[in-house]
Amino acid sequence: MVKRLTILGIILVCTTRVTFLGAEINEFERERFRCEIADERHDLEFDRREVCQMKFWDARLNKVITDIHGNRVRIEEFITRPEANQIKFTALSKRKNRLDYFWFLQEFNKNLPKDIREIAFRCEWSEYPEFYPVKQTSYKSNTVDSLMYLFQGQQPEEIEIRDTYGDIVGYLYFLFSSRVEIWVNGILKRATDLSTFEFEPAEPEWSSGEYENGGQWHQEDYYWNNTYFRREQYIINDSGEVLKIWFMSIQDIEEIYEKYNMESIYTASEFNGRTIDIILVPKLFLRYKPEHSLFGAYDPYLLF
Amino acid sequence: MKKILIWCYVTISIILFVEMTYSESKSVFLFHSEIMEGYYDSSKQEGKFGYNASLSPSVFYKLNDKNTLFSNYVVSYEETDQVIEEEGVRWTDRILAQTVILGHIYKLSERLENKVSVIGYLELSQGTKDENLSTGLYNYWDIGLKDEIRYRTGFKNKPLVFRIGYKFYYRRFPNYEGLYYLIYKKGPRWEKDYFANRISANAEILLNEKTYSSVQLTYLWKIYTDDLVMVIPSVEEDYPYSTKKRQEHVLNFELSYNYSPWRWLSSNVMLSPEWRRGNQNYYDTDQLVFIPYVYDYDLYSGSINFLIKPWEKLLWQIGYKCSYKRYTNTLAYDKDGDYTDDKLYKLDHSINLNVSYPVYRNISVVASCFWDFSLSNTEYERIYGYNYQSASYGLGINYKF
Repeated sequence: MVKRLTILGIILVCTTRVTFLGAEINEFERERFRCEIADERHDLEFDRREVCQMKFWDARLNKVITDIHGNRVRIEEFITRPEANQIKFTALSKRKNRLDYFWFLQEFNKNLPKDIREIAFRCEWSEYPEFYPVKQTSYKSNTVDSLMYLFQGQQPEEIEIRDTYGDIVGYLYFLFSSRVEIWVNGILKRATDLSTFEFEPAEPEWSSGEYENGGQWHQEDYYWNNTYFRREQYIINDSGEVLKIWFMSIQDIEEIYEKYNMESIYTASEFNGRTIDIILVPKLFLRYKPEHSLFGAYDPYLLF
Repeated sequence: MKKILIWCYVTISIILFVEMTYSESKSVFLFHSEIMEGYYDSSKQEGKFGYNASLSPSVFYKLNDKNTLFSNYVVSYEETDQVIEEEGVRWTDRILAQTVILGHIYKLSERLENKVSVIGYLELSQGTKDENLSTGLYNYWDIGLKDEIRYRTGFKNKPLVFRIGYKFYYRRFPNYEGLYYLIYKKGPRWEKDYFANRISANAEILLNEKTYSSVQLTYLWKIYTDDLVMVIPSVEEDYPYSTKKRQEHVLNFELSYNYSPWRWLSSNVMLSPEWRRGNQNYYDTDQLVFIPYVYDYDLYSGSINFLIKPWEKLLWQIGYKCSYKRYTNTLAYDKDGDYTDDKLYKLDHSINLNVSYPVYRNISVVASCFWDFSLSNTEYERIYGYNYQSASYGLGINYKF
């Protein structure tokens, strides 16, 4: 069909060329017509520049990147305030045929002021904080399957920071949880009482490790009901290239949080082969670093 | 893809059929095609090869002294690797673009003329390996109607032409859906789609045989169909948007001066400031900073171009352009990606050189070179390169009659 149309097009163009060879149009008019076409092209170019502007802003605001599979991923992140004592962070990852999303909800000990810049997403303080989270929920989904981490009974506790000789060099207030729950597709897989280290319904078995080429990490949990849960984590740049790193110091973590993205892929028995595949721009969680910081960033475990 | 080609050929056929129907009248068929092979080199990435090709038939039918119909069809295809363009990042590897223009010029008197045209544009692009030309994220089409009135007069015995135009168009990005909407079924869905109103006024005066000057003012008003204005997260509001629709205003001014001291040389100097103002805000979730009117900027650019014909056949064009773009609210980043107190700016210098030499009848060999140097007060370049040098070289064939 396309070949036939191509031949037809060529014939039509040639026929027209022959038909109009004798047309009585002088060179002045011909030039005038060329100017008409040039004017139209100039106009269109002006309108087309608007699309270039739009692409520039999508890039600058980091809304479009590439994942480890070479697919284009659109990313949108939002901060909202569902209640007076809550902050909610939502991150959406859209690929051609799928949509994954993540939200992280912090519930604080009291109502928050309008400016939350010094309050949100902290787990370390130099002094006992006025505002701190008492409950946090991390929810990930591919719109069909879901994974939820629930952190309850949270409060800052003072810890001693010692140097390599065992001498106390400072104090830090760190956010501890009394109970952590993991839910997969609405089923409680594991609840941990962090004061007694008792597990409900039972302690899972697990294994973890790094892939051979570095920058990639995985963990598998095997639960009481003969099911498993697996998570993989990749540190990638905007082109989807995996950062090869074998050991992470606090400085490395800072650099990673500043310059790279985190791609997390989750699967479980209940997902029937499906995955939750989320990309986060983690710079948000690198905003506070008190002296003697333990992590150099917001506790990655809470998020990933 | 087949559907696109079929659409393309049907359009050409209709144009040519109409053309043949009017073959009794004075008609002219203009044709322009070009194929270029090129190489792109940048300080930010490895050099890449690419090519582009375009084909543009146009038909004018002078029905009588007062009425002229015209049509123009352009199809262009380009294939390149990832490059950084003057106006921003482009990821696209392949672009297929088509334009159809159908118009009517009506001569009301010796001095007054009206041109009305319908313009359709379709651009398909593939940027990543999971996309193809029909599913590209940035695919778009637009349809518009334009009217232009021209008035020829004189000023102190010098020919003067005034033009006033208005264009209305609708631009649609069918593959770009708002993500917030996809999850929560509220908020903007087709967040890139908009209606545009463009008004332009132009005056051109022939000062003497060697000199002419023109001035153009263009105003563009964009009204987004779905996109809403973002707000600072407020207490007890689980929603990041306001109820206001996003709008943008662009004002562009072009002052041009042409001087041809000799038959073999003509020069052009152009100054072109541009101002963009809109109501869209941005809440930076990385730094919890609210940036009002994030897209607003002031742009000042100037260029100088020379067209040289050292002898009858050879044509040289050399030009230099400098532009300074300063964002009115967006702040520059330091090397760690944190905001500084300075407003973001970008300074751009570019030089272009084009050479054309006719080798046989209407066929010319063309060569082009383009060098670009860009500087900015932003040091953080993880996402977008602000400070770079790039060059592109092209060689091709041009056919025009």
